[in-house]
Amino acid sequence: MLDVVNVNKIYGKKDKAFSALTGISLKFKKGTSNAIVGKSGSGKSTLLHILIGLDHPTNGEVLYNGKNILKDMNTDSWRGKNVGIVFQQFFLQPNDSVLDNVALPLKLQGFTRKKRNLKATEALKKVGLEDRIKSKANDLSGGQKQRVAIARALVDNPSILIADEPTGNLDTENGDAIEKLLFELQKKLGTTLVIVTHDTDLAKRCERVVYLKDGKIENDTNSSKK
Amino acid sequence: MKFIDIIKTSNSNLRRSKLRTFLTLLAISIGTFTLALSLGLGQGLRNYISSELGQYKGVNLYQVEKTTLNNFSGLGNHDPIVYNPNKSPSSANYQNNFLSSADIDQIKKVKGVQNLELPYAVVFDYATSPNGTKYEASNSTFLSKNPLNLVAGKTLDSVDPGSVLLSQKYLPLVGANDISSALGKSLFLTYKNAKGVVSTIIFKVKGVYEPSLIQAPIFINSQDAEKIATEQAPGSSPLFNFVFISKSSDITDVQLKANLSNAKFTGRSFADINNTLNNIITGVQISLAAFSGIAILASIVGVINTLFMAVLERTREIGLFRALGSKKRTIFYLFSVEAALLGFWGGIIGIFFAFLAQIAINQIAAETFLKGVDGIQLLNIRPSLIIFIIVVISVITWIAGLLPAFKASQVDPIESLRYE
Repeated sequence: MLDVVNVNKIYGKKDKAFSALTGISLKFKKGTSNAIVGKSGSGKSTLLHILIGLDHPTNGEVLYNGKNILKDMNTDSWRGKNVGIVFQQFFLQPNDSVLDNVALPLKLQGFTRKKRNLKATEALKKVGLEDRIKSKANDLSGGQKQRVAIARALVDNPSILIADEPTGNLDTENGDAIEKLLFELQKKLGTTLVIVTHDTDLAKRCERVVYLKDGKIENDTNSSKK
Repeated sequence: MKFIDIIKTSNSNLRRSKLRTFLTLLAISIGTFTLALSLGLGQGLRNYISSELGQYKGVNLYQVEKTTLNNFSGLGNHDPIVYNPNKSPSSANYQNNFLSSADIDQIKKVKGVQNLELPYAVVFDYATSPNGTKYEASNSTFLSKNPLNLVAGKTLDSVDPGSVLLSQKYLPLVGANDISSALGKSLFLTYKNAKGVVSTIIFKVKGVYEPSLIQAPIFINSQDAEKIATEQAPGSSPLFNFVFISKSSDITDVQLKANLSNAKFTGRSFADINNTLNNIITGVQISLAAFSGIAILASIVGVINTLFMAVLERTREIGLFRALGSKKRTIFYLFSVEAALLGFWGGIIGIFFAFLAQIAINQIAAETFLKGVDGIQLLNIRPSLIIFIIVVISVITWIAGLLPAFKASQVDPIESLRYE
């Protein structure tokens, strides 16, 4: 479904050139859970940005159902409709209500307020926060904020869910709960989950783990299984 | 993103930094306030002139005078001019400006001139009311085409000796309480002739008209006016600065003026006078609006600054919007609409206070320096003017916001999501 084909990413030019990614090729199948693991500077964030079309590879391409996400389609629209993103820092609008935060991607896509609220309420039910609809995002705990962020990511039933260090800002208890929720929802909704993390325990819960080192694939459990 | 959501979001974004928004709106509203007052003043004066001179719209009446020398050297800062007895103005020019019988005959012969009427200058000392009170009685000679708004009675005919038309405000001169009872009453007008002999003539009120700033309060027939003016003239006959004529239908306005000009006379219709006054008002209005423009210019700098600050503060939010699928142009719209809304709300506030000022100033003017002048509203901020100002201010602030909005749309989402 989502294919990374021989992607290279080089920052800078000539003598100052730095290769952040080298020859990355990956295939993410529909409904699978995947982890991209690596230390700081391994290139995992760069790969994530290229995966969702926020960054351009120097060479290579990213294909969604066989189409280049940068050349064959409107990347912003594609990302809005097909990709849900969960950030480590939640990135909620602090003074907006929980409902408005969850409905934000729908607002950006041009949904009517009625439809937005209906879908956002449904998404909040999925993460168990339907009773906090009117609360301000600022009034929530860290775990609740990340639940809201997950609801926001899933509000339009995306086919791909990207989670960038989703438990990085949470204590162990909340972190475990969020992990559990993520995998439950991924299974239930049949979403393709790609978690970018340096947490190997979290990564091991995924069906497939891709280890990155110095911008190259060091190990891919998918290939080792073959 | 739907445009209505862009407007709502931009509007709610204005409330994020309340003090900064308030100060920016204050600057815009001051500019709008002064602009509304200056345009309102011009409109008020223009309306008044139109209402007064509007009576003459379409009236076939021209004021004709001598085309005189204009290079009088008593004013101005030019270098001294060597005296030329043939060209230079002389003390005799003052008398030369009057129209002689020969001049009047010449005007009558100009092609396109018809119905020449002479504005006899008659000076009455006073009018005596039935209870013996003496009133000042300034008057004018009635012209056949004078567009008076009669409220009772009939207008004067060309041959109508002993009859008079009276302004509605002058009813006490004939001891009348209402318009209809004034008709037929006697008006006692007293004057002195050139030798100082005092005479009183009794006129009958034939009609009553609405008071007007540019119309005399009493109109007498030209026959009576000629008789009295001749008695009052120091020479053998009255002198005229100008005469009134009508244009014949077989000639255009331009042709008539050209014919008069060829005969060394100048003809001016009331439309010309109206235009001249309007041009003067427009000039004053532009000058005042220029001052408002400076205030608005200063507020534009405030708008640009406010939006650049907002872009800086909301960098991470812009990144989030982009990551969630927002297009660059949506970000551009959000910030540019925010700029337009600053102008819109600033305009509304400025107009609101200008409206309050209008009520107060008109009230004060009516009770002080414009007391007794009916029908004048010094400031007139019309609904169309309000809409015009708000649209103009919104467009100006929108333009001012284009650069910050463009900068916002170019924010790198990857960098901005790292931004703290």
